[in-house]
Amino acid sequence: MRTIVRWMAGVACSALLFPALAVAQQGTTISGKVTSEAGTPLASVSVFIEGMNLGTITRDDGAYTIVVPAARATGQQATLTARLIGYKSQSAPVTLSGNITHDFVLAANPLRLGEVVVTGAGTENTRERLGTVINTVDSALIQKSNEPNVVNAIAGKAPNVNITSQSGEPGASSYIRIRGIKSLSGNAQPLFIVDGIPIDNSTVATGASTGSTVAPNRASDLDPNDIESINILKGPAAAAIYGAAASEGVIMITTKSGKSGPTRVTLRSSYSIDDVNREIPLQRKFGQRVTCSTPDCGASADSYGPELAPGTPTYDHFGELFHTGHSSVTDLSISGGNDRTTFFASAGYLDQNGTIIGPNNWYKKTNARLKASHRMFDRFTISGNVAYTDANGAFTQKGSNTSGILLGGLRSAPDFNNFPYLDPETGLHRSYRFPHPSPASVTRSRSYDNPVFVIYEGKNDAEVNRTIGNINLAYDATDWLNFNYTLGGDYYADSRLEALPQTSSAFPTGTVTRADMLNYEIDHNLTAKLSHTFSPSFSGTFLLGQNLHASRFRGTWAYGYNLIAPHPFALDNTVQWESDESKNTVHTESYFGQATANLYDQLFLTMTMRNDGFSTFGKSEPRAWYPQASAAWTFTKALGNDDQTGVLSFGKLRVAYGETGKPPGVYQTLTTFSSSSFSNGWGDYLNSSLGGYGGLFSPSAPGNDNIKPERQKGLEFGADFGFFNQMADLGITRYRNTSTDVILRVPRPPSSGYSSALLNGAKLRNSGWEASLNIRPITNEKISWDVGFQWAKNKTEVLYLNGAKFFDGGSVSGGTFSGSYGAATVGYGFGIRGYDFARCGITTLIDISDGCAGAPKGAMYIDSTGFPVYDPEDRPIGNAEPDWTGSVRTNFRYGKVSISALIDHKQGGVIWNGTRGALHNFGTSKDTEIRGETRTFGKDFMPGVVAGPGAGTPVVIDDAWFTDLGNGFGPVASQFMEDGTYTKLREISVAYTFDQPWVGRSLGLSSIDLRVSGRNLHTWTDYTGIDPEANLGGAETLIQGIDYFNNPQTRSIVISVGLNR
Amino acid sequence: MNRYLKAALTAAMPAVVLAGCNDFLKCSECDTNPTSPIAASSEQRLVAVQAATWEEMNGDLARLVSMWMQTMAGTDRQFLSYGTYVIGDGDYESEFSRPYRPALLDLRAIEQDESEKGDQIFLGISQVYHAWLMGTVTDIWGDVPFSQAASPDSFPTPVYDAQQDVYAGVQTLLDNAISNLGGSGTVPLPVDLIYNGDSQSWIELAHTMKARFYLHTAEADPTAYQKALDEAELGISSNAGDYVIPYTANTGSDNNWHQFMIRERAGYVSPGANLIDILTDMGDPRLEAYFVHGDDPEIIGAAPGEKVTGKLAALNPDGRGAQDYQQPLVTYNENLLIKAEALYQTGDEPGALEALNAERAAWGTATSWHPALSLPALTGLSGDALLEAIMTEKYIVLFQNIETWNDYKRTCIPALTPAAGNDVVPGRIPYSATEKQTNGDNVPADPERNWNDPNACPAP
Repeated sequence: MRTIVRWMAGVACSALLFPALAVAQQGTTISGKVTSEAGTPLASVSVFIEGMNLGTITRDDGAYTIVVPAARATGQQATLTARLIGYKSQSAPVTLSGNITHDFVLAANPLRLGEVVVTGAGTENTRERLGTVINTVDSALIQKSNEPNVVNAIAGKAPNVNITSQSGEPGASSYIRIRGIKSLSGNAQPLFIVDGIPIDNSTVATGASTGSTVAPNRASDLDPNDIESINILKGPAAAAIYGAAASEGVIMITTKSGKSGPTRVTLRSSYSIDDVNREIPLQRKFGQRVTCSTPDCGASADSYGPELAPGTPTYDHFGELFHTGHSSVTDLSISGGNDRTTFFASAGYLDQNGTIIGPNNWYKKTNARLKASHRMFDRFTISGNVAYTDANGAFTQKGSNTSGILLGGLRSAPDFNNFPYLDPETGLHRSYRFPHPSPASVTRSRSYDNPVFVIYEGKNDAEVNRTIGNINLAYDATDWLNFNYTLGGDYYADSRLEALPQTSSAFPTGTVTRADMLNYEIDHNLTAKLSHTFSPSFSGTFLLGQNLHASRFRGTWAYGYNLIAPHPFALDNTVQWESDESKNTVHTESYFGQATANLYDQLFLTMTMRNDGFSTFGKSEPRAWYPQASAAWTFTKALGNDDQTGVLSFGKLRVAYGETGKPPGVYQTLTTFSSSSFSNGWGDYLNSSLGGYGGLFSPSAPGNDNIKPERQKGLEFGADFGFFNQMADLGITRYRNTSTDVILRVPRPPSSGYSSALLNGAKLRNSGWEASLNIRPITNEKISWDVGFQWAKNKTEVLYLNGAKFFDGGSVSGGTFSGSYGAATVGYGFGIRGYDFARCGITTLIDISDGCAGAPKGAMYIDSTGFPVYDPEDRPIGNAEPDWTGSVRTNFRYGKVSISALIDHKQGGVIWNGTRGALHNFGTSKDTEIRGETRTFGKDFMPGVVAGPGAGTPVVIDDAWFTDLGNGFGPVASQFMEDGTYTKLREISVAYTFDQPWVGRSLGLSSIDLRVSGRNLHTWTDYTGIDPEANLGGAETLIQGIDYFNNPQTRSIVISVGLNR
Repeated sequence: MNRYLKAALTAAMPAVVLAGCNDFLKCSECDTNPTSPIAASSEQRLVAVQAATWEEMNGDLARLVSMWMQTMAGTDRQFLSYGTYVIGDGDYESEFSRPYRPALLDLRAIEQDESEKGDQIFLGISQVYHAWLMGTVTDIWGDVPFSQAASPDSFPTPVYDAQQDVYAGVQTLLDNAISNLGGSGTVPLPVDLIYNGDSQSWIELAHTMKARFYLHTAEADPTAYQKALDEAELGISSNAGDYVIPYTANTGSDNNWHQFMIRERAGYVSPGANLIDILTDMGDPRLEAYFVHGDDPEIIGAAPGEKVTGKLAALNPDGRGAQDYQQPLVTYNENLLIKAEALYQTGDEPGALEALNAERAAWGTATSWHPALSLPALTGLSGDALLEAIMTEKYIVLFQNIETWNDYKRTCIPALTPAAGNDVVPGRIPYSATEKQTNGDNVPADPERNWNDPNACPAP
């Protein structure tokens, strides 16, 4: 398949060699030039004749030509309009006969008020008329981000749209959270819509989300270079048109289209140099506690050995695993067309080589797209859009997993050399706990793998082939009645291999996992739209629509154990097999309607209603209604300011209410028996089928035939202002979204026979503020400068959990770790629960009254030995939700040079640094270098208020502390909760555009763009773990803020060249 | 455009709306799960009940009890804490819940199904499992749900029955089981992975189990020794009747000890110093049957709280550490030692010594769970020394078996030095956090000790 793609790319490239054919015969030719008020020629301006579906876009010199065929140019009056995002549209009457010249001078309209915004399910509106806030990220911003995963390109660009990337590894997933947590199950990712059809954005690791390897979120299959714009529907007030699928918001992506006119060719190539941006501080002063030298001996796990003699070689167990990675992206796009037919074709190739040493850290993606539209008849247009993705990657083991590279790597004793990873004599895996493998140890565990062994000898591959496409028919039956039909499909096959070689610690006899996933979705969306102008001051539209959607998933996982020969990693080369199979089908059938009214061109009303039926809904309520209503009032027009000038050049008030839902998971209405296994959390397990006989047992919860979709009700209001002739604009939004009927796996007493019941009933609330301020102090032909600020605050409240105090089930838990787990707690929110040290006025389960008299509440109790004690009561110990998030973006252009930067800030939010906790136990953390020294709790050790009989008593801090209460495997997780505040320099770039005449004369090009950018160049944070942005489970888990031997993030320098013609 | 075409298109668009979407939400895979069954037979349930029972008896509980009984020691990470009695109410949740969910829920379904079908043997087998699991739960937690347990429709929040009532109920269940097993039913029953439906073996097992649970009440009610003796007389009569888990060398049906100690969590738990010292002092050949030495040429065990090092011994990879080691849960040997203790407690010391030596002699013949070992007969023992010998023998024989904890709580033999900083070895595990959260009105406050274990063992 890849060969075909390469061939197609080759064909596309050869098109560069041929000049575009001009389409000019006879009829009327309209031509002219479009410039800005400052006199700059404006490229890419859409110039079209209204009502005739005739148009073009301007070239780089601002010139345009529209040819009206003789048959259609009958001397009639027509309206010629020029439109460009960021400028006010302008229209002029023309008479269609002879040759016409018309130049446009467009006034800047930085508020983009006339811009058409896609509002979902076939509806659209101009920005001025919107009653909700819809953030837009356009192609220029996506390009500047240099992120191969489109989700990362959104980071820092829309308030309350927070992105967390799993790690900097090629192909790692990214998590999106829009306005807080609204559900208690699943990974709560927004709906992705590409050109009107939903696409899959799931993230599925081959193994456990907390171990195994990173896995891509499937929206990363899109080529960012194909994207024209991304519109984000954040709350129910905006997203109600998508009903039961939209509770987490909607990311609506519009791909680029061709424009009639000369064929445009763009070849863009970028090269990026990546390295690890932060590291884990380790000590190199003390060695392994007990080393050993006999064959197959076991050396100690920890490094609480003697201080190393000067000159003893020690090793950088973090740095040795990473090197400089490099990636390249090449994108070619060709677009053009004539008055009836337009096309956009693109091909892209991404080749990422990550920062982990060795051959198994890469991701390659080939994209191809053809989008074309043909007006068969004056009122009937057929369009097609098909995109193909071929993505392949190789990954390495991570996280909570004895083969995870940092788990074994950072625990390695500083005086043990992990190189060579194979014993020179036996050729077998050597590790710091198993330093001298004998030939008899071929299938013996190394306790922890040598990370270099895993990197070189493990194998974790993914191969994805995906096609997303649609056919669209648009039919304007009359001037007031339009039909639009889209049939879309999204199909992918994802084939995985995960193999651990013999001697790996988790599977000393070796294991192979093969997973094959197939996802297939078909979407049918039909709308009919009526428009009518009742009077000059009252016009309206009415839209009716139907949507049918079918999605199917097929997954098989085959596990082979006990490799026969060391290679190949194939199921046939293993002794024993197990399997898992998952199949599901969901159908949805929906009807929707939307009415809009425009009163006096200043009051805009919208009402929407959607009715959804999902095959996953329970029988008692098989269909659900989702209403929405909004109003926007441009009050400055009422004040007589029609031309957007003056100190208050624009002002709009808006209010909106809407409801959305989240469907129950598939088959939750059924009670099904399990044929899985019995286990206890320590890895040992017993299958329920034994001795060749099939075993079945009752599920943990019975099916719930009355399960309903979760419902989210949102009220949002705000205002948008323009100041000083639109030199500045300010938007403020306040919202409150209440989630009710939230599906919760309510724990039941296991002694009743079921340990849980799946019920609707929990209640959550998210409320917050969003603000954006953009200032454009200088805008002229030579210099322009703009600065944009964004700020957002969201608070998630857990109001009700069906009577429970907290909930830690499913993806809320974020994985099981000693002493800490993710949970939703009533009156607290989402975060980590666990244990703390005993504190005055808080601890109840143990008696610490002897030392707390007069001590302030929260003072850490120090017993007579001078040490704190553990409070056995589990409670919330850290909320991962940030206090606020914000970003600053600026662009400065001087002539052909432009400089831009994006700084992203997250204030607050607590992260569990489980890595540090574990490394206390192993004595490799830098913290443990003070071992043997005398410290006093509350003063120079864990500073803070202390009380109790031993308060102020100096004590020796040594391994007894670091491997006991001061240890991450001990109960007290609170000491590893760290503030996750960060400021990141996400993007900084310098660009220069060559469009001088010599470019055309000597190279035959219209322009060359040159850009040097930095991505994630610096992070300012007090967090001591790998990165305050990382999350162990990636986009698979609802709870974020878990750091347990997470692989690092990266920073990059990117050089890109764009050739345009 | 041709106006007919126009009319056709106008008509076609709404037609799509109506076409083919009748019952669109009722597709064949929409409302049936394509991969999971929605019904289960008694045979299928029994296979899974056996797996659940083995996981219960030889999984995390067996590790905890072995650490507390110092036949093993927690030597790394969380097991350092568990081994020194630092456990929370969330740590042994699955061990509390598994006997009820799914085991008892499925056992009740089997009992109902087989009662209706009149298969008394199948019914009797399920009653033995029912009694065994409930007896084990009450051994550890004391007052527990029994009469209202695993009946979710009638009792969504089951009451906690007093421990003496649970033991009484367990004895009644076993009586019923014995009576049913004397009746007719499906034989052979291949899904009975232990005795293949042989009712005589099940009857003997039920009697040994009755004896075992009578012993558990003897500290509170000394008349139970005579009852235990009477039942043991009818109990397992040879090693052929041993209840041994038929583990295989395949992952997923292999021995939990192998999975945990070798494959999953090497070093977390190591052999315990107390057992190794006893075996070493006695020159007992079971030392080398159970263990192999580590870096040190001697077989060395860890004391509670001691961290793992290379010198520590390991489970014998050809014996207790083997992937397919056939783990004994209830044996002829245990039955003889129950008899020995009961005879001793009812005043027949010579009979007790004879039973003890019969048990030691049984080691001379290899079984699925041990090689043939020659153990000399013990002579001249009486009084406290005889009891000491019986219980020490049982401590050795029941290595890794959770029954050792019940024996210790009753007899305090062998004397154990609690982990540093503790006065006593705990007598129970705290009630499950989930039960406290979901059934708070019924879960009693955690008592220091259970009804059947009023006295803590004194520290030596």
